[in-house]
Amino acid sequence: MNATRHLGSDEIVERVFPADDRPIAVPGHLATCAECQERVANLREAWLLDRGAVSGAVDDLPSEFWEAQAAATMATVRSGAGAPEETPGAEVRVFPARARGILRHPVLALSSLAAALLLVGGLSLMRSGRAVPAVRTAAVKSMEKTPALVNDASDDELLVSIDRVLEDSSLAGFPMEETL
Amino acid sequence: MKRERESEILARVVAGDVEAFEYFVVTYQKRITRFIYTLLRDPTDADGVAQDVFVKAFRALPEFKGQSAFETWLTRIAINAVRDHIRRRRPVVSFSELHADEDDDGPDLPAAFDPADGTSPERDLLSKGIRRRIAEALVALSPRQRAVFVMKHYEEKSIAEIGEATGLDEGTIKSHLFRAARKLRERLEDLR
Repeated sequence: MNATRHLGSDEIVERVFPADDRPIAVPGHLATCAECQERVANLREAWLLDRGAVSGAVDDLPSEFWEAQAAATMATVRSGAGAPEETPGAEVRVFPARARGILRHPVLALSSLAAALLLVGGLSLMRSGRAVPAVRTAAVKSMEKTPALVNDASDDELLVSIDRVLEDSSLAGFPMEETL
Repeated sequence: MKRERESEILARVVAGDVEAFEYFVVTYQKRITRFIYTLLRDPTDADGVAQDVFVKAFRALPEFKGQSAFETWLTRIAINAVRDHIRRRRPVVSFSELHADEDDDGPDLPAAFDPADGTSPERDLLSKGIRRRIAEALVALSPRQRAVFVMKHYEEKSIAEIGEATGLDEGTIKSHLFRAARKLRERLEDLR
């Protein structure tokens, strides 16, 4: 390191809070720069003050405090001996479990959504048009052979798509928890 | 020697001698409460969580295999209890609480936990101010970073000891320490 450069903030922090058990080498600059020495000393002093204060605050608590704590703990232990582990408070999640399943499998989710939309659209058509027979696949095939009945080609394609989706066995195998 | 004695007492507790568990409460309550207080900086919470740690330990005692020291196992329970406590408490910690006015003495430290020695009002004020800044900086760390940092720099645990208590490997611990130190530096920068 440059012997004339002041220590950066990270280097100051590293002097006081090393992330290793081994002692770190003292930068040459630190040995001669009073300003950097003061910065290190200030941070170290603040930390030691806090550490001592926290430790002392607890260690200096009267014996009555510790007796009361132990008594309260043992009372709970006695009353709850053998009781099952407490369930931590329910966490508030941004998405419910089913929604998170969808987020984990977006392709499945989109496929399911498309199938659902097609199904809803097809059912609407079936309800509105009494000419559509109950057995849709057969009806669609007959309509394909009868140009006079093909008033709306897009409706035919929609019904075919619905049939394909409904017949697609892979979709039937999707676990509901993951797809809805 | 201590470990053998503790194994013997543990066996008694597991066999149904509930009262024998008091040995562990009395032996470790101060150390566990100090650790939790350093992490939470709230004496009431520290007391409550410390009691909870011992109750949890009692209930989980049959699972303790003695592969680590009882104290290490207890520390691990304490870390998890603090993490759970922080998660549960998080929604009620407001921004204003985290950034309280520097001049505001605040209701944070009851007399029993307040180390101000009363030698001079200026020194007391300075002491409280610095402590508040450090406490804020620690509170801003993630629970895991906080635990690792406190074990290293407040309890003077080695990386290996921290690893045993947390289950983290050396590289992860050092990474947490580095990130924690960086966040502390950002918070404490104007203390220079």
